Amino acid sequence: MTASDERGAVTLELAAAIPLLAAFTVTLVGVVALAGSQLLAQGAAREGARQAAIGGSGRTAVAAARAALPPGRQAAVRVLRPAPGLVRVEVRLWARLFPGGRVELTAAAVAAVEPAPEPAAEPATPPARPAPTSPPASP
Amino acid sequence: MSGRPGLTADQSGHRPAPPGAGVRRRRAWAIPVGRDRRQDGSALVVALAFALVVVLTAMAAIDVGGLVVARAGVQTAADLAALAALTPGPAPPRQAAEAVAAANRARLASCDCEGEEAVVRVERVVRLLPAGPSVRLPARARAILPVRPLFPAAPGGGGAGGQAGGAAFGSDDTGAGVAGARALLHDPRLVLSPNARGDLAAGRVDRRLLGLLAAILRRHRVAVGVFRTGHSRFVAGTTVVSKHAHGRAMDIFEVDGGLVRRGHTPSLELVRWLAGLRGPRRPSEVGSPFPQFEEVPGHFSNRAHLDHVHIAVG
Repeated sequence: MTASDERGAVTLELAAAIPLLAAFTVTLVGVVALAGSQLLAQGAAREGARQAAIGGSGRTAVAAARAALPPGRQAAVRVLRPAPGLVRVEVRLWARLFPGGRVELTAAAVAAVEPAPEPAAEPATPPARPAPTSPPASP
Repeated sequence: MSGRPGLTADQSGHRPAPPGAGVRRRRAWAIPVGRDRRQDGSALVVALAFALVVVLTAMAAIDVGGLVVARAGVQTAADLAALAALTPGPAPPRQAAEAVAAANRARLASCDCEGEEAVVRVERVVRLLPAGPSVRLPARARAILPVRPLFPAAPGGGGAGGQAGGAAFGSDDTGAGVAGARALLHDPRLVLSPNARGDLAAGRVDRRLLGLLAAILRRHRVAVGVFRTGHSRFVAGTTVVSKHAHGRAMDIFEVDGGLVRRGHTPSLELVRWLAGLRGPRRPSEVGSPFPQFEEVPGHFSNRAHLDHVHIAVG
């Protein structure tokens, strides 16, 4: 076997390996993008749940979740009530693992919800406050 | 040139192997393969080694990505658990926080959640793939009760004349010749309880106090809960007549939209400003949640004044 023979074989083998490596690289980039999308979904779910927790309605919760996503990003937001006093916001969105291949990602956040706002926020008369004890009486 | 043993020998400064010698050097890291011509598969070996590195990198990337996502998830669980601890409901705060943490796949580690502030620590155990070591991810969150307007907005604004506003006050801070309670009634920076509004409208509040209030309003938005009506006649626990009974004192419960409490900066600024006042505007009594002003004459702090600033004149 001569040197030139060897070189050809090496090139051939490398040529076979390169697509493999390229596929790995693409996968790697896809995985990173996937993690980014998952973070996005989670952030949106969290914002929705937080909105619900501080007294928002289902609609404002969905709006808050959508506002946490970049504009134009397709996503499905659902607000569920798995148990009394709990609200669950689910965000589903799609990411590309490979060019053309879509992967569905979901994230959810659960928050406790306040009961419906009380009819009267405050009693008509504030409770009497004790006056200072240390200063002397007024003249 | 990668796979050529002869070149390797040249580069490393050795003399070339004599022609016809059967022994060939191979790279130190090349994996020996059971063939006669070892260099045949060397490119494949290089590629495989490289692929191994890539796979390991990919696994590390997946791990790191998973950790970042899990970390964000745990923080979400902590935030929502802290909110849950302050959310009114049938369960005690700690149980509510526990339930929400569990629903967000985290475990409640501690909950310092009595009162109007909750500090919650949660954690989640994450297993690195595949079947790797477990990592404990902690997260901490703090929530305080949302501040609601203390009193509902003035119903109807008291009719016409609202536009008179604070302009009528001019520059008069001393209280002598204050344009009157009327302008205060329509000051958008002043929130009044129904009792306080009634006192103000009926002229039951001392003019000096009104002047001081007007000066305060130039610096802060405040909510006054009590002037006279609604306050006990005597200083708590004594037979001393309170200055509230003469319309010379007021209790401020909210400063710049926040409830008066220890650690509330606008309230602290208000009290500090009051402590620095000289001359006729100087209040005779200031009760606040801030004990650091107790050395200032007239200033005091006690358990009865943790949630409001008491200001009296005369």
